[in-house]
Amino acid sequence: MTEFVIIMLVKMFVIFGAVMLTMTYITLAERKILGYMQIRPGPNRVGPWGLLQPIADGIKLFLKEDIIPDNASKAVFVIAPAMALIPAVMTIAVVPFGPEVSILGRNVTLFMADINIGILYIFAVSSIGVYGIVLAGWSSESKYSLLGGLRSSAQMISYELSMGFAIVGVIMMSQSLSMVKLIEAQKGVWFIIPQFLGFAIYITAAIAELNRTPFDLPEGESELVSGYFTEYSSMKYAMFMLAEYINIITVSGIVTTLYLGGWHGPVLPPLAWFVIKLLIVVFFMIWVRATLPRLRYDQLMTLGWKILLPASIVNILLTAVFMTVFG
Amino acid sequence: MAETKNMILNMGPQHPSTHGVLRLILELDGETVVKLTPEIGYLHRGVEKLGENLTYHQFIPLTDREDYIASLSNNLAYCMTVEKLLGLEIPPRAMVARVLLTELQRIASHLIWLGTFGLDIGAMSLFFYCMRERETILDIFEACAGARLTINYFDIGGLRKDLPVGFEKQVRDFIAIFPERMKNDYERIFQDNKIVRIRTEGVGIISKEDAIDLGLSGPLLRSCGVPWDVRKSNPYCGYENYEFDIPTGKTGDVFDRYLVRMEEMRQSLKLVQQALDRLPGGAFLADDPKICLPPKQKVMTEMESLIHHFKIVSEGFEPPVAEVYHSIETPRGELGFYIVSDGSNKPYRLRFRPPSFVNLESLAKMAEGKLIGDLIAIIGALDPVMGEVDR
Amino acid sequence: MISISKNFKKPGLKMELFLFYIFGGIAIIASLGLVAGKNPVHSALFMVVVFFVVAALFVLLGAEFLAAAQILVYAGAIMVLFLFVIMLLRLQKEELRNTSRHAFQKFFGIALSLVFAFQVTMIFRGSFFKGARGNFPPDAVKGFGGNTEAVAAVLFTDYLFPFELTSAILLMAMVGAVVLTKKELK
Repeated sequence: MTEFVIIMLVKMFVIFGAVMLTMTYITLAERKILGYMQIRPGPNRVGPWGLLQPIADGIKLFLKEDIIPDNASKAVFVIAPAMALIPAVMTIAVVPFGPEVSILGRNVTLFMADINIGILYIFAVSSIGVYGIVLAGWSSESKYSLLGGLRSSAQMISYELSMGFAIVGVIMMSQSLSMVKLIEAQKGVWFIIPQFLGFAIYITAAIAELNRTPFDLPEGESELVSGYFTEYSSMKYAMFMLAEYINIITVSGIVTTLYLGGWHGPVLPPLAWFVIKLLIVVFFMIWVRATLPRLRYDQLMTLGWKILLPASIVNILLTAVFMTVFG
Repeated sequence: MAETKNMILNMGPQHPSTHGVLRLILELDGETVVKLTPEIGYLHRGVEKLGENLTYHQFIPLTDREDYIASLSNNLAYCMTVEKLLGLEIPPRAMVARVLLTELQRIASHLIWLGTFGLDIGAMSLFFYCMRERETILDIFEACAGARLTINYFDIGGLRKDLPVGFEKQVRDFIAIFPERMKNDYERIFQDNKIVRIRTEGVGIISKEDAIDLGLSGPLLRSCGVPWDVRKSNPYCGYENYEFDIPTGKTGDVFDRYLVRMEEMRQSLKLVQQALDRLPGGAFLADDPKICLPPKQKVMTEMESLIHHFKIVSEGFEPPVAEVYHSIETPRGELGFYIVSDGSNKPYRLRFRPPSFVNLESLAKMAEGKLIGDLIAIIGALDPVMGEVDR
Repeated sequence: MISISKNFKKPGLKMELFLFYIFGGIAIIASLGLVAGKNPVHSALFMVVVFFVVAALFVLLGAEFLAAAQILVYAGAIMVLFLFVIMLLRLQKEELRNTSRHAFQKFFGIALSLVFAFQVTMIFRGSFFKGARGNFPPDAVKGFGGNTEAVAAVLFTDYLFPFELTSAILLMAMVGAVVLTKKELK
């Protein structure tokens, strides 16, 4: 029992620390990659190649004045960033970074927990993330925040549906809701090949869930200034950003698990494969951000309800038909 | 209970996509703009009144600060108006150089427009590509005048100084790279993008008749299919001798405005090429010692030039009693200056017709009933410069 | 239970009871906050807390599928829509204070909840008073191969008709809502 608790605590610190570190450096990577795509160097003043930039950013945000607007609903205003951050951190628990390995003579799994309803857990927890945004938008008593909050909640609810349906195909093929069993089912063929349609739907919906370009309407700078976190400053603002980037890691991890074969791959150790694939997905999202413009609100809804949702249902049907015909 | 109230949203004057200090009072029903009232005047500096208290020469730098995205065009419009008032002939070298530089300025201005329009609808990278090419043009301006934004290069009677050494090579280099950059970096990433298409096509349509009634000009009017351009209809600076087309649109939507401006950049490049090929030598400033500043060297060595210099700088010149209006085609449309002279060294009244101000009036007509996202695209395609609107 | 690891010992009954009291306590406090709260947004948030705690209780009972569904559907979707509506209405502060417009509201509310409590008690009286087990004790669930499988098996066989009927009713409600909110019918 004690040994178990110690192992869990160590894993918790290691995984949490690793994710936080990756997250801060993903912010730097995003700025660097965007920079190179946009013929500019990106941050390069703090430390060699700007490597200390995330730390500088963190210190800066920490020292900023924390402003709570006079008319804001104070309790909710303070809770909202936490409500955005907590689900983001909670989902990491079931992302399977690697299989069981032997460390110091003990068999340790490279993930916090393998719940037999892993996927459902992720969905349940990430569906809570919208609260942070809605409440932030509502409590700020700012019209831009309110519009941003409304936009994002409508967007997240709409896209959660097609996201869920897209996954059904994978679940049907793996016959399990557990993340580890999902990866084990992809030992031969990665699900991206038989489930290509599902993959396309999932990644589109996931980017929409993350409020990233081309679906960044809730925080669309040219329209709503910063959307729901217009009124936030200092660490509260930082918490939204933390949540956003942790979510990027989680979503990339889920995509890797569901469609890219998780930790499977030749030569390199499983953990390395998982991280490589995860980073490729992150890179893809940054690439999309550099390339695509923003959709309009009604077009976003049309895409979600009239294209992605029917397509995901078709995907389920096709999967079912193929599974029945080819066994 | 069933009664719903519309939300009033103050967009601006500090807002990322109102292009300066434009303030829009929006009445919103959900995301739909029900009523739009533009509020202007946040950048009012009383330039027209200032003009009444400055000599004709002293006013030129102020024109830079009107349409600061295309300051050379403003210089040109003002200088030509004063030249018209004086009946001054300007040397051919200055004439061709003016065409060349204002066309480069048009490209630079359209590049800023394209970049910010991209930003408005969320395409971030395009902005940086546009800035890269604009930088090349600004380098040319810098070589000419020493300034990049408020260039102040044209003078009454010609140019402030002669074109610099290496000017031709700089311009030729630009001509060599630009069409390719336009095709590869702008059109392929932007024009062929499905999202750009659905964001711009059929958005902000204004009919030919409405456009004429509102007095629109420039790309905005041409996108509705009215082939009207001051360079063709009332040629100045010898535009009648150049070969170029006036691109027009069909539907008058945001996408047509984009296409018209892109084609205008190509035509401008053509004009730059032609002007460069025929750039004559000779004087760059009219030889009228009472009006044009003598060269510095002469001021230092000749008594007479020193006196002229002193007279022009301290008192200026006294044009005949008259009223003149002259307009040119700036990147944003027809810019006209109206000067009433009472025979003194300062204008009795100076006024201008800024194209952005007139174009801005069409905003409500185009955006009412549309979504906020459309409004942003429409403002972007309108390309207002608030310095010019508020004066 | 969540199968965390093989060498994980099932916590004793004491631990479970302890957790049950904690969660139960939070549930009661939060539901009081929900009823007593003046601000609808705060009430909605308390309700979310209740949903979470109930989900935790489900996990304690070994029904993690239900727990996930509870959070996913109630907390993640329905309450978000509630909040959405509250936000859209944007009640002014004066309107919020003016809550006791109907004098008998509280009285009827208490009476009705007593009736409801009585009904619930009568339905579950077997397990409430006698401590008897329901139809799906842990052994039966294990027979299905897990609680997710058990729910699926029962839902898609014995209760298939009511299940489909419910979805049909929901669909009708959706169509009705669309018809009612459409501005003009053609």
